[in-house]
Amino acid sequence: MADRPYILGIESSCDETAAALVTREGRVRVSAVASQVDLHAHFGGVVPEVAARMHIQACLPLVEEAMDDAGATWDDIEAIAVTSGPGLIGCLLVGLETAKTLSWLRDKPLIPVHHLAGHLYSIHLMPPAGAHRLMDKGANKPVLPLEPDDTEKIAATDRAELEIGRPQYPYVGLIVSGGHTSLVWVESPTRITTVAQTRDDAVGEAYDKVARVAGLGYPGGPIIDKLATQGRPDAFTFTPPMLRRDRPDFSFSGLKTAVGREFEKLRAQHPDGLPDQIIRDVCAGFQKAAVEALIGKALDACAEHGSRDLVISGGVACNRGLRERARQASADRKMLRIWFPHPSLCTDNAAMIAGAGWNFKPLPRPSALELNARATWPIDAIA
Amino acid sequence: MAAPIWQFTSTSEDATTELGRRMADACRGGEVILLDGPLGAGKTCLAGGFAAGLGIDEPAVSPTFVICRSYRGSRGLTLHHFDFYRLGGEDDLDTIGLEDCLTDDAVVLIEWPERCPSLFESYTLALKLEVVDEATRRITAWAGKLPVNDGLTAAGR
Ligand SMILES: Nc1ncnc2c1ncn2[C@@H]1O[C@H](COP(=O)(O)OP(=O)(O)O)[C@@H](O)[C@H]1O
Ligand SMILES: [Mg+2]
Repeated sequence: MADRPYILGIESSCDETAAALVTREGRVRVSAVASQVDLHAHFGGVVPEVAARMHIQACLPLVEEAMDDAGATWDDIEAIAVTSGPGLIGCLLVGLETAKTLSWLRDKPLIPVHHLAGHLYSIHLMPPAGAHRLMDKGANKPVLPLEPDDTEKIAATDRAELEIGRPQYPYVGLIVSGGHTSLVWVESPTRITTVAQTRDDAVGEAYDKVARVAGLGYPGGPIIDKLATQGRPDAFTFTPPMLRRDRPDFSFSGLKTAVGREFEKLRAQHPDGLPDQIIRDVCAGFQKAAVEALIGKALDACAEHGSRDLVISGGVACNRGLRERARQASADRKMLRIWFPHPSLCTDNAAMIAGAGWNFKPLPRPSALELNARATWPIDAIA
Repeated sequence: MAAPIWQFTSTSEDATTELGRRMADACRGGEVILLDGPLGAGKTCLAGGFAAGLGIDEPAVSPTFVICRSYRGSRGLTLHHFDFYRLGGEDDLDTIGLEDCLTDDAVVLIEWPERCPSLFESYTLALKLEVVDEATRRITAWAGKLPVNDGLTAAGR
């Protein structure tokens, strides 16, 4: 098992600034992440001006921290992979300019990586600690793509059941986050085509907006997930948006609006403040409908493509309601295996960028310096 | 505030889309239209119709996450669809490139404009969208300092 060389990955497309070192095999040596979530919680979202400034402050120190933690020198670095889109342009530019400068100074090839290709690749990486999860025939099992070189880093309860395996190309991928809701057909790490996308709000955006109208704070995903597990999913029922075959795309604005209106109605009925149990129940109903729409469409896509594997990644893939619904689905569809990366590799990170980077061609030197960030970038265009 | 130039009652998502389309038909470039209203009022829905009216054939996805989405329409006008939901305030206007979007061959739509009050000093139309009930939205338009042509004046009447 070769420990070196590494690709250095850099990510700064939204809330997180991150740097990581990953081997060719996909072992994550270090994955350092500086999150701005606490800061943005104050405003209820990302503030581009502040975000870009925070990325600038965090980026180089994170690269140094990652190199130090790995005890790596620049001789150990094969190339630099960086997220060049999609995302907030001002934020992307920080990581990209840092990567370009380092590439030029240290004479390392530069590899632009699509953020979503990174999310999809997470399942092929060895997380620094813990394991991925595999939902198979109704069971929720710990799984890793390679033999672990240190079983101490895996929870004792998981060690005995640990499986070694990974999804087999081609397969269906579902990327769910604050800015993305994309169902894709993944033929290889670099050949990805879009099957469906949201036509209005992203699923994580719907979570954030519902949390804001309900006065629950930011980011909405983890807060609502937690409340939902304490609520009754059938006390308030919302229609899962568009499970219609004639409309291949996702839509979350109707659900967001319905839940927002429900909160307003309830608030009018409870002028002295909404009882906690009602908030939990509405969250549970919202979560049930959102999860149903995601899993329903993903299962349809697997059936249509005859896919044996479904990989679900992105920040919303940490959602426990979503994971539990996937486990149930795997009990009904015995031929289907549903994979979730370890939470540390679901939310934005640079390990996924470095790992995916091993599969892309580096840019020749002169064009590396001209590389531009792309706020929007269809994933179908990367191959 | 001055009297509104029109008030339109929409009883369906399609009617709001159609209103957006009529407004787009009237635009000639250089217009700045503010879309003010709570969550689920139909701002993005109206923007979708607007995009279709400019001859843009992809859906106008919510720009909340990326702050701005730009599209080129078949009539030669570009649509810059902004969403200030996540902005902290005026300071952010410099970093998101709004100035660069105010050109003669572009139309600018802005959701959640109240995050940056200085916007209200120079616009073509300010729309206020209110939720009346589940399927009904009251949409009121005020004219700003930028010229409003007859088509835009008629769009909601
Ligand atoms: N008359 C109407 N006009 C527009 N939208 C409507 C109307 N009636 C119901 N709706 C629903 O309200 C929601 C509006 O969502 P959206 O356009 O995303 O709002 P916003 O961008 O203001 O948050 C959609 O789900 C739409 O189906
Ligand atoms: Mg909107």
